Amino acid sequence: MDSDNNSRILHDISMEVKAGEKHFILARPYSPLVHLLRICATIYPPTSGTVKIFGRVTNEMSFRDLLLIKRTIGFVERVSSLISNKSLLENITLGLRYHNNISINEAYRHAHTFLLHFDLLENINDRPARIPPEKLRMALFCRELVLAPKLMILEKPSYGLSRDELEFLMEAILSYQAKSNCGLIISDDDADFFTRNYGFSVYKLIDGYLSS
Amino acid sequence: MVGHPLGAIGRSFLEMVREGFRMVGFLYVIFSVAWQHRKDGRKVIFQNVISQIYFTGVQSMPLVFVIALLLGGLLIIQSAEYLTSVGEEFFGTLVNVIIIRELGSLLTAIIVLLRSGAAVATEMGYMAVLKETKGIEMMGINPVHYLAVPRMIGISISMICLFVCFSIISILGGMLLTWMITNIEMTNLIKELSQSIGAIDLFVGMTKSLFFGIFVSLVSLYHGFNAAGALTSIPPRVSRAMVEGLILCISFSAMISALFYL
Repeated sequence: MDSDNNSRILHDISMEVKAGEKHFILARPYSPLVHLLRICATIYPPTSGTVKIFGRVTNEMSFRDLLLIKRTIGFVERVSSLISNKSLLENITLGLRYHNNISINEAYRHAHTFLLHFDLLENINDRPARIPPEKLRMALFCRELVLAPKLMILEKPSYGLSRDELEFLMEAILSYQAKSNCGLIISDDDADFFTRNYGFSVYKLIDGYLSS
Repeated sequence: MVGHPLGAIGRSFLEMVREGFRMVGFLYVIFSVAWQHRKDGRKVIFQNVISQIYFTGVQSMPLVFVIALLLGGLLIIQSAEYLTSVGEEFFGTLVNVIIIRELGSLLTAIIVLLRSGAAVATEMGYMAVLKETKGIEMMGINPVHYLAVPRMIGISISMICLFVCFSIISILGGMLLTWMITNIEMTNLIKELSQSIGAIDLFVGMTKSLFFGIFVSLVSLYHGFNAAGALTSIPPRVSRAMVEGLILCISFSAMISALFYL
């Protein structure tokens, strides 16, 4: 992967995530971690090499085929990507409504369990700007979970959450992972918390090289 | 170093041509995405089309009503002197040439450009800068299909409907005022009007409106989608969308008029 000024920022990355596996990527501040996660999420293509998801090389896919892959990846970044002029319910159920061609009421019934679990029911008619930051974070995870992803990539899930909220979130995500057998990649500051409590295997990103 | 003025003009011209090609490319993308994803998310897309029609067509109606009425009145006030001397046969032609063929569709396009076009460009720019479009993409939804296609359909449908309403209101307003300030009989006015407005005039007016709808939505969406970096990049983009939209609409109107009536 090259940066804007054409200097190489990621080198010889080799990483495999199988169904049901949990990986943690530890990186120093200002490292190209976000780039790596975005490559994994098929947002950026690598400048050389390949990204294979479910055995298919994504670099050579048409945008339409790539969308089908993206649909199966739950990618939550640190910043909110909820649509500002839609209500929380419209945001969370957008993928469901679009892909299954269902009404908002049907989508609401589908998403109800997650909305209830993340305590978002009282905010479903609010726009993102009116929702407290910690609930907004939860809404981002909720939006991905309702789409039943096969691979989840989470950039700093602890961002904006207290330790209790993070534990609550991890329980929800790991419970979903246990049921769906999806792969999980997480990057955060506190590696010990994830490895000790949840048994993640750790990768280290140092100077653009990834080592296990 | 200051370059040669001719060189600067040439470079700006080339950049304008390149921008034009990029816009045509974007239009092609919108059409091809609309075709490729024609079976995807129909309920969501339909809902977005309806929302756009409501915003552009329904909520613009009071503004269109006032401007149409004023235009109809203005037209008659300016030509009242001639109407009495030349006679009522002039009325139908005047209304047809000015309202149906030219100003009706063009003024409607300008109203929609300033109101809905600016809103769409700002909204899209905001979504692009805040990476909301990337979020949509990560749900496996093509942002062009979800955001651009319904807006283009909605604005185009609204533009045609608003043109029809604009024409009816300005003609009725003009007739009423003519009847009030001149001694021309109302029945004669209606007769003159029905004789001078042909199907081709309505067809040209509606075709113009359809293309104006496509142009207004295209420039707004193009500049909105291409906003990047900071939120401060959005206002210049919106301003460019408005200027380019205006130029496109006026040029196209002149071209069509020349093609059909010269």
